[in-house]
Amino acid sequence: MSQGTAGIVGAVAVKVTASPERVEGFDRYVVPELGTLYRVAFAITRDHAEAEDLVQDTLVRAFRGLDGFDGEHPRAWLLTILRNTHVSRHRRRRPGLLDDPDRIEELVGPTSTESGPEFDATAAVLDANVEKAFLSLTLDQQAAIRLVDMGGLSYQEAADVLGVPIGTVMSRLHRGRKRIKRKVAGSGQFAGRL
Amino acid sequence: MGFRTRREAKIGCMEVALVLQAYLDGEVDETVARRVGAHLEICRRCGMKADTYRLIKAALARGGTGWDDLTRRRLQDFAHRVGLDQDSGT
Repeated sequence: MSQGTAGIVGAVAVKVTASPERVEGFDRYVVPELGTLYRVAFAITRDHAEAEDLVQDTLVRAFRGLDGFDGEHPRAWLLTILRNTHVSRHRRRRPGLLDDPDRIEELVGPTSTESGPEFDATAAVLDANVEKAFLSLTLDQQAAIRLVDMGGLSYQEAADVLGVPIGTVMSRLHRGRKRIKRKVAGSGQFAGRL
Repeated sequence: MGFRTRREAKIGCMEVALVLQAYLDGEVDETVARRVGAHLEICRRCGMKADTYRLIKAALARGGTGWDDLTRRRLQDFAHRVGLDQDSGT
């Protein structure tokens, strides 16, 4: 458990005495998954503010639903809540990007958090080329890549989030990466490598 | 046993191409992973292809998910408030 998480536990545990099990469960099962929830939310919404709102709604629902959670596979449980929350929000507000393939928007510009000697000019050029190639993919392929490569989900978890068979995730993911590889190779970055 | 291990290690480039990305994603079973790993060690072409995909995956992972310290803190604060608000509201 991280130090930050422990801080949350302490603060909540002091003030919330009526339902210590729920607070403990929230801290144990939900808080450690905040990063994954956010990355998946961003993969779905492709908008940072929307992603944060979606995670917040998911947290509220997760807290309320903790009593019915059996403690098994918390990530899968949370991703189901997140997906259902997204569907509810989508119905209430506006068409979601994943459901509207004709709606192509510019992705929010990436903000790399990488630093240090490894992140050199070559990596920066590679990142730019990969990003450009990534943006040329279909939205379905982008979503699969966002969930697996950026969100760190397994194929099955990504399939559950997208509501498609695992084979579909694999197909979108593999074809998308293959296309990125071809495009980046076309830029000469992988000369002699492909 | 050693003979079987060597036999298992024999896998062709075509077969590797079919499972390479799943292998790099950690989505193949142990036997397949062992066979692919052995092939990548001896096949320069497939090894370079695997390295290329690793570079692409790493670049994608660095891409803008927006998960930074500020976002983390905001969501942790919110998670904290969820507990307080929900409890006081019930």
